[in-house]
Amino acid sequence: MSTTHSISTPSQRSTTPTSTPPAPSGAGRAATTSSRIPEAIPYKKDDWAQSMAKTMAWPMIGMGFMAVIGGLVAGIIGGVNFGDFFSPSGVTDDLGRAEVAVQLTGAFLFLGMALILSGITMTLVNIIRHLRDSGRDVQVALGAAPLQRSKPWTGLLTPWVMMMGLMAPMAAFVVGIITAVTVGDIDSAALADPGSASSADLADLGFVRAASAWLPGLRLTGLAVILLSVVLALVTIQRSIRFQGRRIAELAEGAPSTAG
Amino acid sequence: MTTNSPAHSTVGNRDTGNSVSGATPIGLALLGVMTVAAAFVALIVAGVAAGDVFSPSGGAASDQGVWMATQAWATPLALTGLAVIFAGAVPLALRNVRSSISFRRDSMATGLPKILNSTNTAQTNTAHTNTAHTHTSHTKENVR
Repeated sequence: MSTTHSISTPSQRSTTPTSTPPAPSGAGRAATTSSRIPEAIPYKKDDWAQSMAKTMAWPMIGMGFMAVIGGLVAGIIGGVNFGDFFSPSGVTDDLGRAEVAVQLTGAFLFLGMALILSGITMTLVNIIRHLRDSGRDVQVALGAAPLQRSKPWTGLLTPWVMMMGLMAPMAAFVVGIITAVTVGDIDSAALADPGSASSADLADLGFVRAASAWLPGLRLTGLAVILLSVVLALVTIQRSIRFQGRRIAELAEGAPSTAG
Repeated sequence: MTTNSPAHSTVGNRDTGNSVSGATPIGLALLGVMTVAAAFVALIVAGVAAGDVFSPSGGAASDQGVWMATQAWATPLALTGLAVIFAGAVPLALRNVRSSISFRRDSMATGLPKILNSTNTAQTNTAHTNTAHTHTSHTKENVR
């Protein structure tokens, strides 16, 4: 099935301006205004998801790395406090501080990993943007109308899946902070020996143990969903590259033969 | 214009552009997400059991057993789901990207010489036309 596009708009250029050589006469002229590739559409600028990826990719990775470093610091503090508690001069307050630090460690580490993985997804989206703009430049240089592949369903889903995945570790981060605060409220002696805890402390302890059981599951589920968005972005890249190959073949078919 | 569809022409005889699908990596990724989600549900059950253990009425020994046992296998199950994504879906998607790059390379290797030849021919024809025009002008000048 033939798809025809009427295009005469170099003004539709670009997010990343590049100098293009003047179009050679002859080459690809037959294909300048039409394409038989069903997915071909006229060149379009960035949509909201691509603009967000352009702006946010590196800040997300930077924030994620800082959160991971924060988790590492909390882990070291927790380790030192556990060491103090089990030393001959240890007191139960050390155990309380250590338990708080353990909760903060998980909260910050997984939030950081989620932010980093989201940044990687955005970087992959930036690669897709770059592929699209490069393809446009090559087509313009060949004197053809700049066409691009219409967004596949994988590309449409990528930002939503990524944000859905990021919400889970963020929610887990909030619950982790609440859990850390709750642990801080529990009497240290009750932490060391739950049998001696008051009923209020016992309820808090139950909440903390319950949250400690299911929070890792929520965090890992969030990471898995973000990884799904990474796979979706990779499939979109694959389809974009494949479109470019088909477009070049089409332009070659449209070029006048020199044999005769 | 040729009658066969250029979009589906076999360029380079390696890959017709339709042989590799994105469905397999996405299916594997979904399998991984489902595995992690199943582990998450199991961990919620473990969390409820843990909460019962510390309830004021005192939990049953079975609650503690459910808590410990579920936590023991559910966390490795979640990590297995992540491993399915890391070791299955992502490498497969990357392999498909590589395959697409090979397809584009073959298209360019076959198509670009044709495009460049037609460009050169067009430029040569233009140059010949200009030369002939100049020659005709000179001849007219001489006649005068």
